[in-house]
Amino acid sequence: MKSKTLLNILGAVLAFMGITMVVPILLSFLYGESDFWGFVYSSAICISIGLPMWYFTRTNRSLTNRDGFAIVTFSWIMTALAGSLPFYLSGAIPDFTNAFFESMSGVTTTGASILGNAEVMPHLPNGIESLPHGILFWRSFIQWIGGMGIVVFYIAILPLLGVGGVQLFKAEVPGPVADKITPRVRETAKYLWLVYTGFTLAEVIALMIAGMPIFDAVCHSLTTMPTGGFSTKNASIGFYDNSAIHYIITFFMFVAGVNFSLHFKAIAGDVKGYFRDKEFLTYLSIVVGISIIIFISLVFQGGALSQINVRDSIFQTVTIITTTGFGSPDYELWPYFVQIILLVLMFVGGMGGSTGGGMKVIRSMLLGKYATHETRRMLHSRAIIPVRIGKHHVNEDVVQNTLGFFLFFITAFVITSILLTMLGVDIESAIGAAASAMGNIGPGLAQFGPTDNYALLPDLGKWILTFCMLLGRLEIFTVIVLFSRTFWK
Amino acid sequence: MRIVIIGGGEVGFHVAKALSEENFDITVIDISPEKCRRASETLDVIVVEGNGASPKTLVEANVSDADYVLCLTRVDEVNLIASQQAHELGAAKIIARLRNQQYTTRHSIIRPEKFGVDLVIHPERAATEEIIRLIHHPYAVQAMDFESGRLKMLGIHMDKTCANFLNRPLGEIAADNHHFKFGVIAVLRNGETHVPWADFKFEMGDCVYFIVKSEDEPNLLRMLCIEAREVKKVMILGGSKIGRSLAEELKDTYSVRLIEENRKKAEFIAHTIDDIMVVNGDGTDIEFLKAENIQDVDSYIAVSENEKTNLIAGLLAHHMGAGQTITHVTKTEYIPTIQEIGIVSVISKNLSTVNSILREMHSDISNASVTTFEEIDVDVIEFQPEKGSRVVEAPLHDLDFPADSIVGMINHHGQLILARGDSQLTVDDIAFVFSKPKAIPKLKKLFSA
Repeated sequence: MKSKTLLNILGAVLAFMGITMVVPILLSFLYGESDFWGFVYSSAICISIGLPMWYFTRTNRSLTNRDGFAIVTFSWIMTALAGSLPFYLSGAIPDFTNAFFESMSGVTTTGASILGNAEVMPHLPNGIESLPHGILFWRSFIQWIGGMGIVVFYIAILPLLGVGGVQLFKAEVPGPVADKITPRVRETAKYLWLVYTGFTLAEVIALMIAGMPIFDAVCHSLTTMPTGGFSTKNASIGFYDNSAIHYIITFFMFVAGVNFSLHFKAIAGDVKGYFRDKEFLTYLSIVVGISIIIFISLVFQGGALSQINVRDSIFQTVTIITTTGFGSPDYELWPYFVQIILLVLMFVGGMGGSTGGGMKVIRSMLLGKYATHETRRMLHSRAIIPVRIGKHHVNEDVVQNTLGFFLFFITAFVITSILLTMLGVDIESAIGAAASAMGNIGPGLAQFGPTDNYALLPDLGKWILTFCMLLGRLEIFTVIVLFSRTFWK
Repeated sequence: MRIVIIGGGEVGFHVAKALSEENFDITVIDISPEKCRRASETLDVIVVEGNGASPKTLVEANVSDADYVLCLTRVDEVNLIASQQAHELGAAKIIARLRNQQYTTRHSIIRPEKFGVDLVIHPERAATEEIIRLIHHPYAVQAMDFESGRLKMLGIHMDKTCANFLNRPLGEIAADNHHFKFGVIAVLRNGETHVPWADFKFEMGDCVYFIVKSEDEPNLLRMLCIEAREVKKVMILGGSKIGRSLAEELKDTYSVRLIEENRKKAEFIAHTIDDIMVVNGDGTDIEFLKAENIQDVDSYIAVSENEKTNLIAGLLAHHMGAGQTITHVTKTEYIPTIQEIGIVSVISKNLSTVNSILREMHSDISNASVTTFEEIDVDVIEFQPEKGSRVVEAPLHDLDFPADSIVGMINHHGQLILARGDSQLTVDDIAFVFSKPKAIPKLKKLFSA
């Protein structure tokens, strides 16, 4: 492990976070709010530690896969730390555990918040809505940075990660195979970020046309495209009594859950590429199918055949499967059947190569294929049966990796649920919170449902969930290998 | 610039590696999943798995809008078919590696140009030429010609015979000696490359790379107390393609013996090449080598198909007193290690191929020609300063030249001049700059307007 390279990159990450704080500094200056000095201090701390750390460790490097894992994991932890400083120093979240939880939940695009409970946080009588603008923007912005991947972001903008970027790219990009859309990883990273930024801008404009104020439009767009889910309102999207806003956000959440290479190819002219992609077709049919199922069960439970119910079913399906976690309808009032379906969707997640979390649609497909494959092999023991997605043969390694991933994901989920119940959390809440943190969704069930928040969770529980979010975002292996004894040898 | 490389073997991989580090957009095609994985895991390139001669693969790799297509598989026929298809698809320039040299002789029935090939690289030929250069300079571990032989780069091992050279700063040696008419461009010490400036001190075991005009070569040798031995007896191990063409080239000037283990092959070589002696035997058998008077051999060249045999044979011959040993290996990664084991020259036809391809491509793309080496981390770039560039404004020591680079020689209207601190470049000159790869962008800035 090359600790000098690691320090160098961490320094760059820290300094960069400090520099981006200029935007909230300006905002809080313009609004004349209390968080101004908090941001100035945080920015100064980040830059004054980050710059020398980066400057004095510059080396020539070639990275191995092993370095990639460590660099990516520690970069995320560093970003979360830097992100928590303004919350803590501005006094918006006076407790460090809470500040770090909020920040990690932000950068991993989980969207689970500890804010919004006036009894626990008397300094915020009106929950999220009494936060200053700078802090609100910062919450959204760290999600946006985390969405496309922090390290991918640095590969795109900083030349210093050019060589060896491949290893970092692979360690960070979600999905079983990281496909490059151009030969060079730096170009790929650049295009991915361009597409991502483009969609974000489009959403800002669409939301403003639909009547959302500009500040809210920007903040919500910054958290939609990364499938984050932080909102500037206590009631999240439910605050807006405007169907157009719901549909626009639903659309962009859906877009964010699609593999960005497909978007890139579509923009380059190959729009039909979406419909040649088996994973996309599966993703689309899950969204449509589940929305219909939810709508029907809502109607059966006594709901009306109204436009609002159609809207809510689609919105809720998309917000959960893409792991965004925006809230609108309170799904805890919905039939248990629907709630369990939503819980399962949390595991499925978005497409590989999207900004969504969860296990990814492609992995679920592979698991299904593998199940049939094994059954057939039982019957024809000497047959050679390849696992295929569409016309493409899937490499044995990828299948193995997927099985391993599934095993780890479920194990982590089970252990987290057990640990949470040990801390006195009830079963439903524990399961919901574990699934939600592992899948980077945000809201869970019961105590931590869409209308509640994580403020009442014991501190130890918050740290456990923080770790789960990181595990989920970096797809487990990147983080878990650091715990292997052989890694450090 | 987009480059498609067909064949991700030893040659393809290293070409891809060198070019991807220079920010070209590279696609590698290979049929073997293992080679594809190796490329995609270690290089910043896109990899397409498939047969390079099949149209489907070529279309998938977007050959049609490639600026260069390099056909570098081991099989000539695949390279030719791939070239022709790439040509039909509209690739701008095609370079093919052909092992069979008959395609480019006068008697060839089909010509590579017919297949759309713009440039043919013969791997064996490049290696053969390199070996012959080394035989001409038996005291050097590496020899390279520039300016059609008027300028030479020689890599020489420092041992105790050069006591007056050791542990003294380079500047002092140069000041003491009016024969000092050569440049020291790089020093390889413990596997690391240093670009020496005036305060650099040589140590025993260093491998020093000199740049010298051909006529000053005796001066250099005298200063290093090296006796210029003349090579008379050459022994070649292995009747491989390189071995055979070496025998052909050398038989008129030297007494050549060729050792081949396979009886039938040995007979075949004896029938086809006259004026040489073909011996049937095992080149790693000590008794056999003794019987062949190995201690009297001036140049022992191990070029059999098996690189491990070559290694052992080379070390044996060196140990038993052969004047010079040259060893051929396939894996270029081995070269630095082998040079540390003993004082033997190592060459690799794959590396020679990689170098010729890179040199051709660089001269084709820009006006600066670049040569790279595997042993030392220094490239040679031939720069012609542009009009209005900073480098022509002041003598060299007043310019902020990058620390890892050095101007070796200057070609001024066809006259070769050794570069000194007070040398002044003009736009008519060509400067031979020796530099670590990372300093090249800075140099390019210096030399361009």
